[in-house]
Amino acid sequence: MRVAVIGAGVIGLSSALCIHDRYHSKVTPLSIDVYTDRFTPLTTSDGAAGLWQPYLHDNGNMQETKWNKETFDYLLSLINSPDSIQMGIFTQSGYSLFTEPMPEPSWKDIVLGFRHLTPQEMKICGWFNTTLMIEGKSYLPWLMDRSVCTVSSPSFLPSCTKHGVDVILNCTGVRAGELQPDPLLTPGQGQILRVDAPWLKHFITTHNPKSGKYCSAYIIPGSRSVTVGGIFQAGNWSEANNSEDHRQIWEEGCRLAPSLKNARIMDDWTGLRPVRSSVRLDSETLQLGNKQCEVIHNYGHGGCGLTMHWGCALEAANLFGKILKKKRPSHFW
Amino acid sequence: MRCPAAAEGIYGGRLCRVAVVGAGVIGLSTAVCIAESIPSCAVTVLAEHFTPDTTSDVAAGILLPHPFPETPLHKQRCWFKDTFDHLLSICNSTDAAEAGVFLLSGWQVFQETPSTKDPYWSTVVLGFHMMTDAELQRFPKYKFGQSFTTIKCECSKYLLWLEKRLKNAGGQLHTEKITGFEQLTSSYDIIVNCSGLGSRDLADDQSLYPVRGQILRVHAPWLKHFIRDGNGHTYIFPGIHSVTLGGTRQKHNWEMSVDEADSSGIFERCCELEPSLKKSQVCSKLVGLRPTRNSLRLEREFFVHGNRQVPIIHNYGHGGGGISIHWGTALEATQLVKESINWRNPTSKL
Repeated sequence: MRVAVIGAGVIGLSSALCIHDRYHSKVTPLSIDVYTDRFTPLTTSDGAAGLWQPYLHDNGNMQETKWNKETFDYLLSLINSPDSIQMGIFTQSGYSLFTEPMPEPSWKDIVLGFRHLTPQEMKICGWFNTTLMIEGKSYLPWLMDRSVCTVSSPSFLPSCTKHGVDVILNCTGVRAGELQPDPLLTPGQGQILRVDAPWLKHFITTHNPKSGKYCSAYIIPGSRSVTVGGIFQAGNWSEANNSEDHRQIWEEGCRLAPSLKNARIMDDWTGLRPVRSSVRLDSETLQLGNKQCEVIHNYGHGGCGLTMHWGCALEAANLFGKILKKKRPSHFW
Repeated sequence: MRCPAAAEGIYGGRLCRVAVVGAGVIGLSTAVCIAESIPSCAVTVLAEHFTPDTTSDVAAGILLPHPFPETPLHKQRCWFKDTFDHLLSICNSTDAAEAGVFLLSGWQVFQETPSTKDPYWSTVVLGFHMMTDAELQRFPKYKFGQSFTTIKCECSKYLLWLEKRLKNAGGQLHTEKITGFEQLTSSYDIIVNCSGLGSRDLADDQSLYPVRGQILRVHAPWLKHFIRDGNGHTYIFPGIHSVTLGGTRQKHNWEMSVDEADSSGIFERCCELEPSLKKSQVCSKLVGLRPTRNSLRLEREFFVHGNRQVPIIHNYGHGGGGISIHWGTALEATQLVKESINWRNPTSKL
């Protein structure tokens, strides 16, 4: 069976790995090829700080809550393994701050040590918890090493469909609309600063219910630098760094953590979150030329790609399994 | 500078000359406290060693009190709280990075449930609570744990920052080994003794003894939490540029050179607590001698030399808890200095 994965961000690579691990002994030969024009360290996943933190509200989407939990549990199970540092996984504690009291999030029992802030800690409302970091710049190379996929540019794709790709895994993120128009998908543009401030050991995220997620300052220390952000511009396709956004991020960051004031700014980066009202994770049969092809869509994770990637990869593998059953009903799975 | 009337009377219009012996965290913080709060004093710090060569420089600098069996608990709590509150305001200021002071969260874990689950300092640190079962799962050999946020005060930066503060307040620093208080009585009006283990000889105090501590500093920038075994023998304290792994508590051991058996023991025990450390690189190995005493000596005595009687404020014997209570003891020592300024020398002609 030939599988083509389009996109080499965290979604594409983890889905490929998950499918390979579950089915390579059951389907022989199983060849999985990843097609992309950008791979680590230039993907959206590489620029993200890598903090495991879902949105504050479920919006009634229990499936996404389940994928978030599966991802957290999976990463936590690896925390004491020999690979954890190479994978870019480590724990970090920190603060979620609000201007007014908020209902507790669905993920409060998923993370560790969730509690409300004491009056000593902050003068406003908020929570404290221990969560996980999963840094794309380490995780993606680890996934690439582990996979038996070959990675090539998308221009190979048309020739592959001619030669009989059975399943396409569409993990194209913000540019999924180029393959198949999707009015629900829009970029959530965000600029960040990477700062040298190694004395900061906690994440701080702020939330303004009126302005929405990521529109409010956040500070997320990583293993190499501290990410300072707070920009979310829906519909903005520009990947250029902007000095006005830089100034806003810096001012608000310094207000949040005064010790940042004398820290050295290393660089700016701008990425496009693949925002969608809900994640598209489903399958369909498409006619490509004179051939029928099964397509599994796995895109639209917004700012939560790293947070829910493994749950989505498991679901993508489930969908793949259903496709196999459809194609080879006589096999015992 | 206008001198208060009392100082004019005793010192003939000049400033009261205060000698602070010792330039570790105790000496420098006490000197700063005096210089900043008593304008009528001219403060000079005299020491053989300055940062980075003091005992304080080796310490990880985590605010976690060290028990003094013979000092009343309310005093210990007061010193700790004064220090914590003082450092917390630095944490939240633009000075934090230069001062080397920052918040650090983590876990203290116990293999056997301790008799005191709720120690006196639990209301001073931030967010103190018992670890949940889920939190304890990462430490399979441990039955009980405490989770809280405290402060780390890195002396390699903090002491330099205190030196700057002292100079801004008009204080001076001199490199000079003081072997007897008589060296100072003719040039100074008040002596503040912050000489740590040096007081064994300087103050002839045989109740003071070293507790040898060895540490490793490793490069592990992914570690964002402290982990401490409640027995005090194994700890992991992430700092600004390196992680301190410890340790040893060898009583009456004066050995300053690194012991390789201690190094391997420390590394193994820390890797058991935090397996990712196996991937870390050791940057340095250091030894410090904790200046230990059953109770902290914080009191005034009068030193007689010739026809001079000079008040000496002793502030030493902090053991492994120097950084944790330094500002509190500095405040108390400063109060003793204030009281001593108003004391009249009975041999004076006034």
